[in-house]
Amino acid sequence: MKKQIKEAAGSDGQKFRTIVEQTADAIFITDVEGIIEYVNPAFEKLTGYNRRDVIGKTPQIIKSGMHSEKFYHTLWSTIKSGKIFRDIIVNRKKNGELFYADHTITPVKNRNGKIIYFSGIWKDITQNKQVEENSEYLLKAGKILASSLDYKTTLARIAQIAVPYVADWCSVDLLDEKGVLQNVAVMHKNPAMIRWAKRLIKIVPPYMEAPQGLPNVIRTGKPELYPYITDKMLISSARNKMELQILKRVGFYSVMIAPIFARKKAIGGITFVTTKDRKKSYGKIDLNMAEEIASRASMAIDNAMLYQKAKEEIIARLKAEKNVKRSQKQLQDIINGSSAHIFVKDLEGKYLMINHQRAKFLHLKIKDIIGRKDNNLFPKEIAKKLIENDQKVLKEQKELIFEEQLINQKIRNPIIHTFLSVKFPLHDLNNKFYAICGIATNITERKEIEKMKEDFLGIVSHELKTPVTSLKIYTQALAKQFEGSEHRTIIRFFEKMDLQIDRLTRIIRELLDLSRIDVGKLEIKKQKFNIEGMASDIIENFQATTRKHKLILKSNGNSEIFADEDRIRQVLINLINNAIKYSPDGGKIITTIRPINEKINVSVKDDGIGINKEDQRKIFDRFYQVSDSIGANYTGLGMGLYISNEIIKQHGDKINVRSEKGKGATFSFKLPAK
Amino acid sequence: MKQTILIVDDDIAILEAVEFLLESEGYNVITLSNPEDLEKLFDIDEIKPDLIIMDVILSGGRDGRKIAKDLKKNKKTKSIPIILLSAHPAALKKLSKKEADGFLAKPFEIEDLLSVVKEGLKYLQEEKS
Repeated sequence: MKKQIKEAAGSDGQKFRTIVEQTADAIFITDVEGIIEYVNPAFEKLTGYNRRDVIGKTPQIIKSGMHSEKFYHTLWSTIKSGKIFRDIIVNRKKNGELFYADHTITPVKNRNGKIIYFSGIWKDITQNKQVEENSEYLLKAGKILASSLDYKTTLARIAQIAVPYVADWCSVDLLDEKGVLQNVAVMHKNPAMIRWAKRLIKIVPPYMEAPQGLPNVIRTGKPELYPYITDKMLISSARNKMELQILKRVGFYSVMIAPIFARKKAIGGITFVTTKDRKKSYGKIDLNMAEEIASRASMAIDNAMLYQKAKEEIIARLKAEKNVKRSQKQLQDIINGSSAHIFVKDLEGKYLMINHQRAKFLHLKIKDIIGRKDNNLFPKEIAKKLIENDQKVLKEQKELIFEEQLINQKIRNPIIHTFLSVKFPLHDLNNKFYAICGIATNITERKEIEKMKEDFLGIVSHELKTPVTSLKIYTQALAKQFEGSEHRTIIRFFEKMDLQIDRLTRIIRELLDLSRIDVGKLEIKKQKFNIEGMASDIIENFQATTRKHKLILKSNGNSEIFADEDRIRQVLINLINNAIKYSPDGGKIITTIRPINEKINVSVKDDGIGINKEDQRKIFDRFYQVSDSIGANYTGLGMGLYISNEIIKQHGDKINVRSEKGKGATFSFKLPAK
Repeated sequence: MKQTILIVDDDIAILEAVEFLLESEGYNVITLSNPEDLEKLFDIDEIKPDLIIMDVILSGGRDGRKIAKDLKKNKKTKSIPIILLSAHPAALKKLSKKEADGFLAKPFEIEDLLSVVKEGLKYLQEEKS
């Protein structure tokens, strides 16, 4: 071999030898059969093989398996035919790593043109090739990321194209809303391994406390680079035997992880892995590429999230607008479908909204009413009253109910309609009072019926009382005629007649009161008077009618009250009358009047038959009758307590009863002292 | 001399009952069932009642209160005490002194009527003296 070089180099041999030994490119010489005869130090350095290992062998030993048979066939046929072969070749180092080389094989011929040996030169272009592949990947990935806003799909594509160029296994993982790491994409050069990897994630979910690897990358926001993964590293990172087995099966060779950010916060990472099949070790250049990819992915996620957020906002707004429109229409339909007049006026009294009903009443179109005021739509006096009511709502800032009278000026002979108007303030979103809303129901007919009923009541009252009045006069006058005479029986009969007339009068009065309560017309006219004096008179009159009962009046302090004198007399008479009626065996009937705070408490207590708990709830009902244990009924219509209670209610209290069956009863109520 | 009391009520039964009662008490009684005749009555100088008892609701929709008010305005009649009667307790509640000197709700105790009449006549005498 040395001889050959000498031959070829002649006197320059020494010079050539130096160049060959010193050059950075790997140089080897084979015989015509391809058996290696010489390798230079650069060859040893590049391949990791000692010259002793390779001399006498063919370059087969550094074959990477990355080229097809055809590639080698072309190579041989080219150089055998005496031509130079030049191409990029991928070979495998002694340690199994691949390297790329600009590969030139030159057949060296003798003077006769016969090939005597081949010289090979490998220019190591691994790094260039890697940079090239990395940038090619970056370019592709960049395009993919920019192509769609669906970042999950684009990230999956990035993982896909990473294999097999820059990785044997590439995975993208992101934290979900709950902070749990979710695999977005995983790609392996072997499809069977993808399935396996996916299963692996399920079996061995990443644990966020891990001191290294993806969780740490997310925690720190810094990338991690492991040029070589050793067994020791696997053992230290595995939590148990099973995990270790799995990790070993993956065949990790080199790993790098770059963080993915969303709004400057690390939310995941992209992991590149090479396996022992390829034995490619990641270096600084690769990490730069990974970080670049991750940063572009981060941008894509940010954009996608911004877009998504904007989209969601727009959708939500559109939805809300639709809902508002729908509920507006619904409200409008309800308002227009209502039989009541509904309207909204601003604080100056201008109509802001009005429904069909009121427009119809005024014989105007809705649009012709909006913006106008009441004094523009109704006669002066009516408008004045309406405005006054609005002012009250304005002042009190609460719902008020009015009876309002309206008239339609457009009709020739307009009739006055009575409305029950509920008017209340409307507040804007800042709770500021900005308008008055009114809902008015036409109660003209109801009022007419009420008036008729009232008139009828008046007539009935008059018609019933008139004959009773003359009856009473005649009876009493007749009794007077016999006063002092010996016709005692006649006098007694006249007295009995008089009592029956009184009873009839009471029944008439109660029936009328009942009707008045029904129409809400139980009128109360309050004035100051002394209830003690009144009670005293009543008790005196009742005492004259009974000997079995002892009627007692207890009073201390102030007994001036502010109430309807006539009505309170009615209540007292009712309660004392009941006390007598329901104490068939006689006993004490004690009326007590005493001031409590600002009120005067009045109670009537008897020792009668009492009222059981169940009846106590019912005695204030209309027409309720208490019967005693033997079943005997007590006469009367059962209206007295109902009416009395209604009267006391009109004075701001209600009648209370305390009683036990067989142990008497106490009825009490409070009246205002002022 | 007997004092004269004028009773105005469209209900004959009451009119007669009150007449019977007051006559038995020794009063001179004039009855009037048609209030329309009231003005004519005052045109006759000889008839001058010392007291008038009148129902609030009279036939033909006439209002006893209105008539009473008019009488109180009239020079000739303003000094005559008027007692109003009504079957509507509510109507009596709204009465004022300008309209009447006494009120009674129907039906009433004759004692009450007699005492109101006596009060009225006493008041008249005090005025005169």
